[in-house]
Amino acid sequence: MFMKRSLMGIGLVGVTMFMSACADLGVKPWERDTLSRPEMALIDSPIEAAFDDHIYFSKEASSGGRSFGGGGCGCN
Amino acid sequence: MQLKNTKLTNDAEACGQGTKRFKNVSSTLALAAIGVLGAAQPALAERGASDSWDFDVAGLYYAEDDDRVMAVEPAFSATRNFSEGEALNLKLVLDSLTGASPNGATPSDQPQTFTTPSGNGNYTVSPNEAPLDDTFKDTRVALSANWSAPVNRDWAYSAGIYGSNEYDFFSLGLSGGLTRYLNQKNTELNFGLSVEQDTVDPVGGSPIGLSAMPQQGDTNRDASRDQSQDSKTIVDALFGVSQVINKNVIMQFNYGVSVADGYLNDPYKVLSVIDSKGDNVKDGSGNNVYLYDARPDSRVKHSFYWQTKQALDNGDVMDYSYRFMLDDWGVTSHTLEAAYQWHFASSYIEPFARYYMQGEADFYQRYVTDAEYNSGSPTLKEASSDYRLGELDAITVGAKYAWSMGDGDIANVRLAYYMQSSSGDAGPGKLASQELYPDTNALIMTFGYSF
Amino acid sequence: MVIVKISVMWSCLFVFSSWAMASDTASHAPLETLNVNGEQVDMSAYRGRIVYLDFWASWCGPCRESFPWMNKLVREYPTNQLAVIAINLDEDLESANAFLQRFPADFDVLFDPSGTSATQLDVEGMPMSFLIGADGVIHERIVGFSEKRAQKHEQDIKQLINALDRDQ
Repeated sequence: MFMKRSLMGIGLVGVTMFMSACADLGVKPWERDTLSRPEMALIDSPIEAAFDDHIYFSKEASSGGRSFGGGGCGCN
Repeated sequence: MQLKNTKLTNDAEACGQGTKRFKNVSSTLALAAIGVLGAAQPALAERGASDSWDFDVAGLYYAEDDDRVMAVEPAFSATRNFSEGEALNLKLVLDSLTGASPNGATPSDQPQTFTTPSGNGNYTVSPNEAPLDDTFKDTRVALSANWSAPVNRDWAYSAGIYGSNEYDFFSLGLSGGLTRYLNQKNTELNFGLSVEQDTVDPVGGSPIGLSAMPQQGDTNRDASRDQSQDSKTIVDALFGVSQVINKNVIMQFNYGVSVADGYLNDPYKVLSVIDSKGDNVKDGSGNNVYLYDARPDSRVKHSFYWQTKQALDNGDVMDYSYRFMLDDWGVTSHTLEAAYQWHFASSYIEPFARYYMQGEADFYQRYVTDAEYNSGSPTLKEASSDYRLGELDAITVGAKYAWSMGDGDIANVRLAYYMQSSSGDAGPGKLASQELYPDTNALIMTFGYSF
Repeated sequence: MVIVKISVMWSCLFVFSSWAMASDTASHAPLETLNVNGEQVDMSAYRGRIVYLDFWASWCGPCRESFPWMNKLVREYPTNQLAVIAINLDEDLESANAFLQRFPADFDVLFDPSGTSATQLDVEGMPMSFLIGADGVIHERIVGFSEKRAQKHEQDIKQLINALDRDQ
């Protein structure tokens, strides 16, 4: 339980620090030329990502992280 | 560059002089001045246009070496984009699996006979061979629908439903997501929740964990079975922050927690019982004893995921990510992924690599000792020899080629090789000479067509 | 339990961050000049007419849909009543021109690769339009484009033009 709590704490402090640093980062709305490229989407190929998640879900103990952990398959 | 600068000066003059009113810098004039340039705009941006459909057809072929598991998985996805940025996605995935899968027992210098999961048959594994269950065959159908829409400039939401069915398994899930945009959409906060209910109805009934595998035709077989259907519930929550760093870099950080409750055993896996000499322990009738897989009935996983996408000045795109996971089964894992998209005029080649490293679960053991077996009253509560819960490393390397087919259509093919190696303790006596931790290698091929 | 706790904290963060966004300063002063790529454009020359000032970029999806609609505005309303001005904010002029080849514009297009005009008017998204009244005061700030909302905006334009007719 202690470990869990400290993990949460570290996570939240991290996110808060990240958030406050965020205000200085970024671009103007009209400077999104490159960012609007389809390849720059964080998951640019959802079907492929789902294939990968399915494979790794059935071969390894960990899954997900990028989006939902997956499941819906009796393979693990 | 020169051209651009020249043109800018012209425009500036045009604007400067137009103090009474704009000088007619109409598009046609501007074009005449600059000359006709190739359509630099990639056609693929047409996808997602409002009141249009986007379709994706894709397929996966997965084949393990040595005729083990082979999977063929076609997928179809259709997305309807509405005028206010709403989108409805419908997806169908079929999945057909065949081949042999390790049943969890250790190899032996003697032939070994295993009862098939139904209890109606058996299969024999030759001496010094990996015990594989080749009755493994399944077909899965999965359907999902997902709706996403903006609420206003600052908020967006999504909702989804998911169902999948295979011979011995039925799954139904609901999900919802909320997005908050900040700093002119440079920062995005995401919160997602999904609930999934799975019903497991294994061939031959759900074995009771650590009970002995009955022989074929055993009249007392029911003693090893839990006759009711078993189920599990999985609740996933995901908290994500994505941040635009500059014109070329975007980063995201996700924290995910997943809580699973219910029947988490693998009903088709067993453990060998091994004595100090490395021989299989036998029951009163002289048959090898194999105990069914037994896992805790709950699992809490935490994941930390960081990803960065970076466009280079030459148009290439780099993608790298790291994931750390741990759970209350004692598994920890590290995953590193990197890809480099090498762009050409209307295509790209993307070599990629993935490295995965996992530590074993607390209750993972390659076999059960005769002391732990304790003549049929096991001293253990949980045990699994599933290699997926053991210590393992995996490397994936591959490349993807994607090309534009005109009109915004894109085709791609991807070829990858997955190499997994397990490790663990060597085992007592003559078991040490057996291959307890065989490698698994697999070929992964995908294709996709988006239109 | 853990999930509930984090959810609560997270939603606090969401709400807390809301006020940071609410800083839309509505100006009631007429727009005198607009700094387009470092050059001062005299906007007072448009007094007596309605101005639909649009900011766009070649990579922006909804911008494609807005062009035919703006062409329609030009067709339907005489230039002494409504002026449509589009300011392109592409850094790279070639992309802008490629866009204009595919989606021709029947209205004035200015190029502002340095984005000075967008900074001046605090452009919040792509595309973004400003509906400017005959008095030079910004009447409406419109972020994004959709056919549905465009119908509403055309009503606003009509109203301003009708008011114009009454005044004359």
